[in-house]
Amino acid sequence: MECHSAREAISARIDGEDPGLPGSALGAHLANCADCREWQQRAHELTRRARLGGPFLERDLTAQVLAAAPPVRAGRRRFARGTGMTQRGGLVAVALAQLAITVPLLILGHDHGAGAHAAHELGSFDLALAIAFAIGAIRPALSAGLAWPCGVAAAGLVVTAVVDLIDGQTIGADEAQHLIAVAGVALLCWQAMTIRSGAAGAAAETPRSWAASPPGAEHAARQVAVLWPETPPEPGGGSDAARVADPDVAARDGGKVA
Amino acid sequence: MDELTSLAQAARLGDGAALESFVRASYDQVWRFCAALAGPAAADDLTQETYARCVPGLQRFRGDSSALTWMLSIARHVCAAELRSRIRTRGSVVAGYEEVPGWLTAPDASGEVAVADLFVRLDPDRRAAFVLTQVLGLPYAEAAVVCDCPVGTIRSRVARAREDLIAMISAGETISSGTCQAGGSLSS
Repeated sequence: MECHSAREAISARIDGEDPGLPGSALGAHLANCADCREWQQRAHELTRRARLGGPFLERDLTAQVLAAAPPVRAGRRRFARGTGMTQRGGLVAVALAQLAITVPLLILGHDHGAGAHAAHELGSFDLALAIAFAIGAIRPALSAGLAWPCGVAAAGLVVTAVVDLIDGQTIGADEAQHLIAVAGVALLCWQAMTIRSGAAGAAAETPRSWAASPPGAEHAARQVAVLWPETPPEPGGGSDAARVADPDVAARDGGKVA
Repeated sequence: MDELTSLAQAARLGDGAALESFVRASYDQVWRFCAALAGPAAADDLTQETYARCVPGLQRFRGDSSALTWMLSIARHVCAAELRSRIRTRGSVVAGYEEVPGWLTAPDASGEVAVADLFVRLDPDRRAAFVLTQVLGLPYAEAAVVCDCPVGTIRSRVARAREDLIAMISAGETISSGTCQAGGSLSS
């Protein structure tokens, strides 16, 4: 075993997580590798210090956060729910209508002049559309993906119907059933657009900064932030922040080191 | 379902008191995560922005994951955007730190380098994994949800972060004890 994977397992074991390899293999490696034994020791020490450390916040931010955060978008939600119900209800209706079309084709096997096998194939095609619309009602998030193949199918049905009507190959009443597929596709597209605009709206409404701090102050704070000077001073100890901020002290310390 | 998640569910239905309790119960963890990822001075702003995104978005919170991991993953995105904008305006996230040798020369009261001051030198992904699991005490599985990666990736990032931090502390100790002359090259 390489030290690399042994240390990953040691690290996970310190955290009480699955080490990803058998404990016996790790034990065997540790018995033979003094470097990893020392590393384990240091990792324990580091963990103790890291869990104690970290910047702490001593103020209560609740009021500030609530004052600045936009409200829960209840109005939009009501609207979205109403619209969503219309779309999903519509898709259920369309799916049922589409399913009704497949019954004579698939079960009875006749479609006007076409043979039984052609009727079965057409029935399978119509059944697929019905199921796609039903899925759009059950899982609205999938509408955008469903709209593409259903849209191509519906467009094909409409275009061929129009061409055949002009040629006199068929009659309008027979072809009217394709409008069900067109309605289903329209509902899927509408639903996909509603979901997309909801997501875009949520992403757009993100205020940038605290209302309380003027833009200049915020900029300065961000500049300073990069240097991490606001680490809470250690109680009783020399202030790290002051030492870091004071170039003389830093230079002196640096000099002492070198 | 944990308490914070129940509060989020209630707040999402327009319960103002639940919203206040939700913020009160969660801001400390969010602030500490932001502070560790992007520095304490920027943490107030970043916490604010995290809530500015979460609160209107509560209606989309379905409770599939815990409310805390949901909040923290939004905070992670907010902090990542902040770090990216620093790279755009300053050329580098860490450029500023290297000008300040404080982490090497300013041990805390007990004579030890403050480990939290070293987080900033970690790779951002390792930093996030380490802070989530060590400072905030999340299990690996929840940290994986926050970071949107497999649990095994968290395990390896935490281990790499430990290796990096141990190496940094060793370097700092040898410099402080004057046995190593690397201080000049590190701070220049």
